[in-house]
Amino acid sequence: MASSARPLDNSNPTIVAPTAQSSSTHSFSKASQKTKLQRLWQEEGTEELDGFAVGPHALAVEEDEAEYIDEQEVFDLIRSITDPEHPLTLEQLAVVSAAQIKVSNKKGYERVLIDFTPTIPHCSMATLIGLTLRVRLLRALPPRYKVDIRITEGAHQSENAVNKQLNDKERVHAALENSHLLGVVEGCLATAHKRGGTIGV
Amino acid sequence: MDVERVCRTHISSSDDLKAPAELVQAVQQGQVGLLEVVRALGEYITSTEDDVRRKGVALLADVVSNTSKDRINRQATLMQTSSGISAQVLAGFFTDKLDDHESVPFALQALVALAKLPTFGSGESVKAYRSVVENVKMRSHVQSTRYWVFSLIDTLMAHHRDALKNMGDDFVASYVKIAQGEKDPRNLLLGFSIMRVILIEFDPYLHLEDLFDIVFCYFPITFRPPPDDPYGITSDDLKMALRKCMASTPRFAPLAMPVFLEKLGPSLGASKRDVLQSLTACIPVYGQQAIQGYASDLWDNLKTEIFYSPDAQIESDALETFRAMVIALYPEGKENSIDTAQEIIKECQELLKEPEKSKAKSATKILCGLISASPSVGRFAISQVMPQLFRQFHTESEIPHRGPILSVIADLIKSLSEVYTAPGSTRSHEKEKCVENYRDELLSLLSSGMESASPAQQMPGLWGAVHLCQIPKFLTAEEVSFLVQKINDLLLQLDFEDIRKAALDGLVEISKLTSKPIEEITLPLLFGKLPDTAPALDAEAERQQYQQILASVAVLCAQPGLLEIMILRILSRLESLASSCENGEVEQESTDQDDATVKKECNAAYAFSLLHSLLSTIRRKVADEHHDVAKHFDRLVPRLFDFFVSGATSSTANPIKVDVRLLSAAASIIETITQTLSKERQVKFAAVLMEAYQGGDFTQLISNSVDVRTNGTSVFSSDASEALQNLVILFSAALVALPGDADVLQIDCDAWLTSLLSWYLTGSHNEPQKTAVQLILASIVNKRAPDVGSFLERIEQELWATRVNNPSLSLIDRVNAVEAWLWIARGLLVRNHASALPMIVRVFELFNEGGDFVEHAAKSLRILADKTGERILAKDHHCVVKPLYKQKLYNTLLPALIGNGAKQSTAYLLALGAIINTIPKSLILSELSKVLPMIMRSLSLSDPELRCNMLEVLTMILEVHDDNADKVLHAQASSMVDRLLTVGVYKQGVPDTPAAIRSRASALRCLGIFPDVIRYDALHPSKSKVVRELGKAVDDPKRLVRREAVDTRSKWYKYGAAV
Repeated sequence: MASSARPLDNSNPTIVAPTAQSSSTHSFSKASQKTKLQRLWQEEGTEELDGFAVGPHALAVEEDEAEYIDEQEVFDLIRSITDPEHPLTLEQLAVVSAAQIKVSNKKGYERVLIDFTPTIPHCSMATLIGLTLRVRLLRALPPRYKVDIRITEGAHQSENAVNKQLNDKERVHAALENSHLLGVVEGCLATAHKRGGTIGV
Repeated sequence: MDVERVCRTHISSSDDLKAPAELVQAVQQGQVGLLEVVRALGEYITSTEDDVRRKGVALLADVVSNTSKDRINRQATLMQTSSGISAQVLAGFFTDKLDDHESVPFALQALVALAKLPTFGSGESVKAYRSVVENVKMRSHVQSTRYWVFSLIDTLMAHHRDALKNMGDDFVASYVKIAQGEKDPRNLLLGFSIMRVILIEFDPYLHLEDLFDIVFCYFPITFRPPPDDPYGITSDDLKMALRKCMASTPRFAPLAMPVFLEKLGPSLGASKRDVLQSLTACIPVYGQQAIQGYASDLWDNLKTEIFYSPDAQIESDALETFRAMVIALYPEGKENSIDTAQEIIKECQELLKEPEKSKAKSATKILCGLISASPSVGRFAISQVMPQLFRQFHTESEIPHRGPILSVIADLIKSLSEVYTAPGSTRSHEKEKCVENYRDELLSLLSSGMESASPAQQMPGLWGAVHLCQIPKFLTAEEVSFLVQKINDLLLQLDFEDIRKAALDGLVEISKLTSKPIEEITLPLLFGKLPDTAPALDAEAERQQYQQILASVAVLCAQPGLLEIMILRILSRLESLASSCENGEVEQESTDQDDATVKKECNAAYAFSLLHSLLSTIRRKVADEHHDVAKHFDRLVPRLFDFFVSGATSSTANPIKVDVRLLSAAASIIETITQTLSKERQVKFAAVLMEAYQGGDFTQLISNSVDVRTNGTSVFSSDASEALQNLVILFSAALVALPGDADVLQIDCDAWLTSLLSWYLTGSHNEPQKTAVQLILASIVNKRAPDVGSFLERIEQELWATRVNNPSLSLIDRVNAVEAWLWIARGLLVRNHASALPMIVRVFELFNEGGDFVEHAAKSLRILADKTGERILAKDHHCVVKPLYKQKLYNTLLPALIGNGAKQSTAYLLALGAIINTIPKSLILSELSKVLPMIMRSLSLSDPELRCNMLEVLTMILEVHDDNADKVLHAQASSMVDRLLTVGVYKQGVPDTPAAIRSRASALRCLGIFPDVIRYDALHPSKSKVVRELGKAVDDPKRLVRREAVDTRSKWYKYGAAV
């Protein structure tokens, strides 16, 4: 990391402790009676198979029922991206949060809108963070979703300029042609798969 | 042996510097004396020709060093008496040879061997050493020769240390010259260990600076071992050896500390860690006096690492060094002025004013370091910091900052409780009373944290409370109970899963200290929250709550001493549920039929959860080897039998008491607890069990005064009701867990098994009944193999010939038969019984037949891989298990499955898929070139279960590092990728069963391994296609699959990019 070469923009950022909402509360969806009857037995049934451990993916798999991409899922995609300056995740630094994500699954008008909040208003990393988010979602979301990435209103000095840059396809592509920049982005993305597991601290 | 001839031939004809093997052997065995060898070599070792002399000395040296100690010993003694030549003479000879450049390495080698002898005295030692110093110019010799120099000194150190010590400064000064400038890692390792002895034992203060130079010139070590290093010396080996030298004398301190400080700042990565770890090793040795002067500089440096290092390992190394520094500065039992510590604490206090910031975390770690390093400083730190934190907590205008404050408090308490409870710790709360003054404030703050609505406060409040309980002899029983009540509330909330989990973990921690509050407060509360009857189908939140409560109970009651209360509560809950169902049935008659079924289903699921939590508790306890399980047998098993037997025999079939799924759950409980019985109890239990099932008298089994008879109909009679027949499920569970010895199980095996089998084969039975019988068959033939000879002969005809291999029978009859056949085979297989393999191979004969049955027969081979089978055919179930039986089986089976190459019918693929998960890895790898195409082909079959099995194995194959496998995999990589994409990408219109979903997910996960194990050049053409196709997979209708797709796609994006 570039820490020794350059003074940090924010050497003492605020850290928030991530807390997971109960995974099942939001999955109480309108399900058919048949599904509900199956669900009655599901949890214990899977446990029985492999002794004690409940495989995380064995749970809550329902037949023939599409699970739409929701805010939590998008948040899971980006929460564990590493900050370019600190060995901390964007979630720990409260740069991104589930509340700052909006998803619309309306047919033909699928959209994801993400607001992110740099830790300080003059953060020179804002564009880089935005670009990292952009790359992550380009790779992880189906192409039918239109993705908008913006800085939380009033959270940065050059909010408009950064927003413009991040939502301009040409400029994003041009930025990714730069192999050094891409390397930095990949570095931040290396922890993205943890989806809430923390790094450092 | 003609020694002279052997020597002559060797010297004149061979370029080999090793002695002829025959000669060495002859000397070793005592057929040839050393003296003879010396005589024979006489003219050569004094020859003026370099080459001849070199060979001569080499030969003699080789003989000497290859001869075992006592052999030389004895020969040396013999020589002394017989001819006046002794070990000393040999030593003298070799010592003299050190001035002969050609002979040096061999002379050294021989001296190393001789120096280990008792007859090699201190005189020889000194002489040999001096001769090395005078004659051997280190710089002019190669690495291997220098190695012998170090070896010799090392040996002298080990055997004649006093002689060297007596040489005094002379020795140290000359050794410095020898060791100077050495660069070879192998020699350095020896050099460092010699140096450590010198530094510790020789007290070489006159030459301290020289020694310091030749030690510290290597620091920090940047050596990286070459890839083909024959000696396998790692950079860590050198670092450790050097570190021991640096930390061997306090005299180094004034010279070393500036070096450490100078190196600490600019070094990076591994070097920085080395500097920190070396400091941690040296500081305790250098001591208080030496460190004091550098403390503030050191603190400044460490602070930078702790606050700013992006590397968590460096941070933790720096904290260790910091701790070492504090320990050295403030040794226990002395009055110390704590000015440095005071400064440090002040800095931390300043940072804690913004408790939510990242530096506050580091400050907390520093304070914890102080607490654990020194009682006096720790107490002072707490007395400064705690009041400040309390003040902040109360005056904090922003509620969000309260969480971080609590988190600091929790960390401080944790470090305190860890210090007090560390093994061998002499520190205790009674001695130090650091937090005594803050008792009330801590209790109130932590509990208010737990009461707050925000998880950011609940979590640290909870952990603070648990750590507070963990400080020995601090809280009173009432105070612990008070905290436990608060934790209970967190356990019962529904919103935050990880808080709930943490609360449970916390209670488990507390129960390890005292189970009383758990037993008296938590458990009654939890059981009280369990509903009387199951919540309605739509009340998912209520259902989730009882499931969570039962899961918590299952964990808590697995702690020692809490099982009894659980058994009582769960059984009474189960019985009242059953009786309410019975009453409810009457009024349900009138209402909607559909509703009644749903309600029944909900109640059954609730009952299942009750039984299941009991099962998992007992399993946990058995796994943790608690010895109090068996004593609960009488309280539990008869009541379970009572419950289900009364249900099966009563006229008003109670829906809870006759549910097969509940019977199976109860069966698992019975199986688990029966395993734990003592021999005596086993005999008793087996007797009443057989009485009940064979004689139809259940009275004793359920130890009930009421006479419960099955009205003359046995479970196994042909006119028994289905409910009655279902009781075989409980029977089976008990039987498989009992030993089969004749004194426990008094049966006539042949007749008994025959009648059981014929019951199984006639009449229609549901799946659980069939499984129950199959397990009995497997278990009993295994345990009683010597007694089942005639049974095995009988089934040849009655099971195989007339049933399995009889196309005129119905499909279902034949499937039942082949399953029984394979279970019996498996029971025998586990003990390597001779009949087992032929029985299994026979099933393959069926594959040539056409029709539906073939497919079923092929799939029935899954019985060989069945997990229940694995569980019950085990030593803890009193079975005979021979090692390596699987290898034997699959050595036969795998060739049969993959043997007929192109002709493979689907049956072979199905059979392979059914068993592939249990085939030993090594076997699959050795046949990989044949197995892999089969796996690929089977991935296009429609059965998702089979695909899952295959993918699991494919994953295993990909993750193994094996050169052979590597070649095969690289050759087929691109076609594998294509196939996996087809399996992994969702296709509309295919029914989405759980197995289908799992197979997509595993295919994608499998695909994600390729970038790690396959060279990019082999798959370069596929990359863009994979990335494109995975773009569809990230749009999968199931979240679980999308997750795998996203992870795999990220890996492929990076595949081939410069690292």
